[in-house]
Amino acid sequence: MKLKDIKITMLGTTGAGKTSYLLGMYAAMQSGIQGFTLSAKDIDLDLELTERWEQLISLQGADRWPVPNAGVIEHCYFDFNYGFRPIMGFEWIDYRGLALSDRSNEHDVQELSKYLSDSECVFLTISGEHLQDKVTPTTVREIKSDRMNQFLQLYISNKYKPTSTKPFPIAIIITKYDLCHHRKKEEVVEDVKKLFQALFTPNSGWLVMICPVSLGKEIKADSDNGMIVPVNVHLPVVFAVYSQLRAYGLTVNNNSKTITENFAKNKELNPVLKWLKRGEKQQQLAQIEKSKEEIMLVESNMALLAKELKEVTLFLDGDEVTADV
Amino acid sequence: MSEQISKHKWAAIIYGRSYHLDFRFITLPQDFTEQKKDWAAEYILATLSQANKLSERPRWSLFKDESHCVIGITCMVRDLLQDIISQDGIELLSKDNQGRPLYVFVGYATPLNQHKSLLNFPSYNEQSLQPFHNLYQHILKVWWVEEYCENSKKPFFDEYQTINFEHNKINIEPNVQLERPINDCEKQPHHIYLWQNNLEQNQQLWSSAALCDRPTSVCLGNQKLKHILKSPFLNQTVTQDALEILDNHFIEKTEHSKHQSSNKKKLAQIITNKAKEDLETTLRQARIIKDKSQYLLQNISDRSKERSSLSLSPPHIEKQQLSASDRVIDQNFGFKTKSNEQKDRDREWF
Repeated sequence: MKLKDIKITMLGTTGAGKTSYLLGMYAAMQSGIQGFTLSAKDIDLDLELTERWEQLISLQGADRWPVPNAGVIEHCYFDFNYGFRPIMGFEWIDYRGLALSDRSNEHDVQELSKYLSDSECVFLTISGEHLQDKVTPTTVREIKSDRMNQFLQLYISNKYKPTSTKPFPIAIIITKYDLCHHRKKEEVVEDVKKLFQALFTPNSGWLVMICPVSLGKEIKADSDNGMIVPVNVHLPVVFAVYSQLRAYGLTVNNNSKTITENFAKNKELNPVLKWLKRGEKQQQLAQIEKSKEEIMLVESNMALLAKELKEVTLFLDGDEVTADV
Repeated sequence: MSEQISKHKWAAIIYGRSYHLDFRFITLPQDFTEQKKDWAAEYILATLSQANKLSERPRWSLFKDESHCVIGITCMVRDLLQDIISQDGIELLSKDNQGRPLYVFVGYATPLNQHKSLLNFPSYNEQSLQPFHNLYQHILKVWWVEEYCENSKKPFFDEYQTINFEHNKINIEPNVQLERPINDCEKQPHHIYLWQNNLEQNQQLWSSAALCDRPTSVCLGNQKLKHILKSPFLNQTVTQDALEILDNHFIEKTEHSKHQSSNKKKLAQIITNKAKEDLETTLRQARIIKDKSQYLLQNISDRSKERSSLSLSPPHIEKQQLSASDRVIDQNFGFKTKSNEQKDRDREWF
């Protein structure tokens, strides 16, 4: 089973931690979680990301952090694998945060908008630095949640028109969570819900994960020298794959249902027609068998990934849910 | 001659980031239109790729079309400020509000008449950024600006003025000759000439580009081949390994994504061909083994099919398979509503 390649867009303002997150996520997923691994499709990209990650964990001082991005959008291509067998490929972009709030005639703003409208999963990045206290109108400006909502409306909601039966996956990633982990989880969740209210509206068709991530609990005290020990950085990608597997499982199931219905109809035909359609019958049986196997495979993969998603907060159609197959 | 020199007037062109506000054009020459800005942006952005490598060495670039010539450097801000302000000042002005080290493109632009050859220009001297030191003043003007400030993202327009680069002039070794003339728009406009990165040759390249009487462009850095595939420059210095891969020392210039992918494919093809030569013998042997294995597997598979068709009657298959599709998979597939009990048991994330 190999799902179709998808595009993932990470929206976030300047300094939100998009590049550091990419480096941490890739490093964590190279070793693997429950047999799932991530690999760059291009060996040069692998070397580059690894080199930059090593710089982050080995150096001390401000030079350890990735330099901010200029107006060039970098495209990265990855494979998500199980036992080194690719399950799904995805494309990722890294860009300057100002593209989120710059004028639409800027080249990278146009490229970002186009890329977002082709994406099958969106990561919204908000820095824990701005969630240290209860959110205020200033927080909206700092996080640029108003711009993110606007992008979602224009390029996702209007295009995909998500529904309860076909929800659109959004991961809200709280980067630098070490800076706000003194707050109660419920308080932070409520604040996030305030910033992105539309995503939590009943029957609105959004599948939302709120996930705190950090590159290390020591970073808060000493960002230039604190030890880098990534926490939860793999979960957003796990969520993205989980949601794609789920969508694929539902599609296979629906197709299988249609075939089963047609099969049942054929059974009611008179013996002559039955005989004439005997070839079709064999085909239907084979398709049903194939669907069954695919669903079982999807479920077993989802069950493994669901274990990882136990600790995050998930909402489907505005209701809080747990990942469970 | 001195009269001609005085005719060159220069205006600042700066692309960088300030303490709060992200990368954008901070200063542009007074006559730069939106179209001209886009022209310059294409070259400047190409010098900014792999910015984490700028700590090793700055990149020098020169590009000119029919009407303007831009010369500049892309470097870490701390390198630009070295020797001109105190260490505390450097500490303050070389990082953004997240504490990340900053880099910048600073340069000058001059309008060109029918003669495209430059008469006075800063000499190439990799480690001395002196001709560009003063340009940091332009960033200081907007250093504390916040995004919500009026016109925060709009660039300043700089007037052309005479600048004397004579004191920066260095003598170029006359015995160092380029192995071939530099590329320009009339030679191979769709090719990027690749050059080895060494001081003497870079000085020659720089001067040749400046004196060239036709539109041309050169970027002197140590970029990897992968990162210059999209480069608009006609001449580019690259890492030694890139030159070893490409015998002709040029690659096809890519302006459209369609061409980019074909160029990437071309490069991949070159590498693959080289690898192929070494692997050919191994592959031949593998093919023989594969053919034999396939024959064996086919035999086993045919026999097993025969056996299964004998042992399972059609009604049995139907019953077994249809029961599988009865499994209820609804729209909540993969998720279960969280019960109050589960919510009560919720732990903190960290």
